[in-house]
Amino acid sequence: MEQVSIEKKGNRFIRSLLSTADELLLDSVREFVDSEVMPVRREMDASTRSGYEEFEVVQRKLLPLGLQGGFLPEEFGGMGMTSALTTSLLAEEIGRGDASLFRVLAGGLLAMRPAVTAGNRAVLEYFVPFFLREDEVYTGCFALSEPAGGSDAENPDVMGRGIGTRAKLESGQWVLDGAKAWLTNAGLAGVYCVACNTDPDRGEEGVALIYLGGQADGLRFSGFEEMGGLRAGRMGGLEMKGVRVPAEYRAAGPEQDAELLRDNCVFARIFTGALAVGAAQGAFDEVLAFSSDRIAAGKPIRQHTVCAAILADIAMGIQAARDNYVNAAYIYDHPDTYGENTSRHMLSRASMAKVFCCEAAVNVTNRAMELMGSYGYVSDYHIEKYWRDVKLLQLSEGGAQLARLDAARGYYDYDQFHDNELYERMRSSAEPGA
Amino acid sequence: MYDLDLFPYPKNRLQSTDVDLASSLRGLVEKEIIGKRMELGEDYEQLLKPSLERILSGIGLQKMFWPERFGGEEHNRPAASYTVAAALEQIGRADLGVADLVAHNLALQAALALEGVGQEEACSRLAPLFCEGDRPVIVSFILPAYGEEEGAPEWRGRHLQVEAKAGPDGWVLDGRDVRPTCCGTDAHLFGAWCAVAGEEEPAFILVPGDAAGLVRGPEFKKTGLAASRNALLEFKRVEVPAAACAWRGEEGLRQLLSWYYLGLAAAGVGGLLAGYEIIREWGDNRVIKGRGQVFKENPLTGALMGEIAQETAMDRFLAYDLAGVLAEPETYGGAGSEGAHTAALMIVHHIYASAEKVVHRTMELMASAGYAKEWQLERYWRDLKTIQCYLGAHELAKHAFSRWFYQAGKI
Repeated sequence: MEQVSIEKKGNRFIRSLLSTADELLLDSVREFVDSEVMPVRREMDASTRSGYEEFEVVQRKLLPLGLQGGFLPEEFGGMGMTSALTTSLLAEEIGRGDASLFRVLAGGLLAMRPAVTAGNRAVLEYFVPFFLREDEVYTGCFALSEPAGGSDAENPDVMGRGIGTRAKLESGQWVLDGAKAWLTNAGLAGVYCVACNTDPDRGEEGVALIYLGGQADGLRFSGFEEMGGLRAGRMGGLEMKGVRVPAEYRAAGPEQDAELLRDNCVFARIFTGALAVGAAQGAFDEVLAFSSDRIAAGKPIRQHTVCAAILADIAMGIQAARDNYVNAAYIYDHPDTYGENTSRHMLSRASMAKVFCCEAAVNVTNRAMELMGSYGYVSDYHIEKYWRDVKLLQLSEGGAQLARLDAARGYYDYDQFHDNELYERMRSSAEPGA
Repeated sequence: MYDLDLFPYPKNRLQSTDVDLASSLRGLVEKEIIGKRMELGEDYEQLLKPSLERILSGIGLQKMFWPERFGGEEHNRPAASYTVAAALEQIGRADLGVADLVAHNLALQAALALEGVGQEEACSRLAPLFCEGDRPVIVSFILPAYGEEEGAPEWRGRHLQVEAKAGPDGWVLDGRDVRPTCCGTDAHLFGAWCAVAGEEEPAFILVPGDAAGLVRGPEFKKTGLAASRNALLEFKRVEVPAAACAWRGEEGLRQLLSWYYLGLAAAGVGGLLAGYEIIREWGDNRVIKGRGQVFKENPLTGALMGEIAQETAMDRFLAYDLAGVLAEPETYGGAGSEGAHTAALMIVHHIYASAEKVVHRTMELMASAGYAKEWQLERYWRDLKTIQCYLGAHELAKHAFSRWFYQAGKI
């Protein structure tokens, strides 16, 4: 297959932003994706039918690269890889092969980031060693969404009130009750970082991020969701009934936990955009190869003007999206210059990157699929997998609409519950008995 | 279930029998497909195949056009286009793969048995297959493919997948890696647009699925249309009688495709109506926390839901407009004319492009539920895209529009 990856001329600028160590890591991951993921990506996706065997084989092969615990502090044996840019470029590379593979890794990353940022030694000392094992896959799960509210939990306008899971401090232990849904790695993870509420009336002060192990008493998992895409990245729900954990398993404390939660949302949106770009790049590589081999009217179809114009649109979409997430990641990595990572401006910038990259990827895969006609929807040609995966990426991390509202927050003080007399009158007149 | 008459369409042009048929089909698919799919998913043997059987042979759509003297219902005037639209809309609402197979079947009937253009010999030969007994007849087409294949005859910038030679006892057909439009594994009858050795004009030749020398490859995996289990075919000196040639000349092919596109257009509208029902239920029941705002009453999501309804309503108009074009050959030149065929191609492409946009919007509104199989929306997303793909790249269809509207004959 023709290589059209980010090392090409136009992207040397991006690589110049990386440290030498990160560049080497990126090269190793690229080689891994080319040799170990690309040849079996269809089988990984279809491994839902065989107990995820093919997917797990690749997961195990990935262990020696150290990504499983790479984001953990050097003091604890990790690589201290906290850069949003490096994480995003890795996401793009792995997404070029199979986005689920990165999402499963990212479950651990998102679960542990709050403890890493807050320097919570109790959590780090207990859970880090599991991530650093090179002979066993160990994952984490960041448990945010809830069955009744979907993405309400990450909506800044309702944060606190939007989280239904309750945490009470009793006799030096947190007691958790509630349910979570749409969680990557639910039922598989060794560690869960659960977004809870200690008191809905306290708004953001009531938000708590509390850690628990996968074997905790009172923790029950629902089955995995059957999904249209990202099939190997298992998602499911969990229920907590009186789950008890030590008091020090709260990530930081009142207000700080809400900040950490927001920070995770920002970080996740940036790398999700990158992941979508990776999948779009994978689709582009496929359609380039197809359009070279397919002959019409005596020449490869990509030598026809109409096809070249479509391929140009695809390339423009990918490059513009890549530039977008790289910018957002760079801004995130330089808070001294651009301000706090949890500012509304940063949330806006990350949301724009996620919305733009995912939309670009959806458009790219749609166009690539149409260009390949009947070959586009056949699994052998891989495009249909990328097409399914990018749509799901677009719907993740709060979906396409909530992220738009967050993008608006960078420009003015957007408040969806802005006082509105007319609305209140309409609402009260619609209530029974009014 | 919601009242789909909220989306206006020219109801006055439908006969009472059309309305009754649509109503029966609605009841059938709600019970047999929609009611069982939570449990059976997209299972071919347990859900899709039995449903197809009930629609084609149970309700009797596979007898619709054939003359009464051959056991058919002779509902074969051009205005039967409204019946096709009303029926396919209901079937598409439940399952686009099943609808696609019914569209194949009805298009072949229309091409062979339509009043005024029907072909007596082909009717007498084929009608019993469709009208006798209760076996459903799965029909598939073998059409010109885009691009070139080494050794395959070229035709209008595409290649013909099967080559026919006339012999003393009929036709002998050969072809490798032949990709039918559907059901390579299951079809009972293939209609192939074949190159004829030594002649410029292709022939449309009907080949029974059990013909000697017809080899079916393994089913290939694809993203949607689970009702159509497709596979590559090989024609190894397949012999069929001379009468198997249903027609020569492009007008017949255009007629077949115009009716097929009508079926697909209506099925696509059915898919959109299903999406409307899903998002309507979501919009009625989902509450945005904070103020307790019902989803559909949020100005942003309400506007997007409005857009979904608008596109669906426009597409429904378009599908019935196409039925109107095919219903009045005196005015529009008949389904085999270039004008009517171009209109059919434009409308079906427009509907599937619009459907793509609408289903994406709907998924975005439903976020995680949009891609979870239990909400059923994602199957329409995969099915609509699959149909759009095999309609071919929109750019190539635009060339056909240019050929007709600008007489750009060399494009």
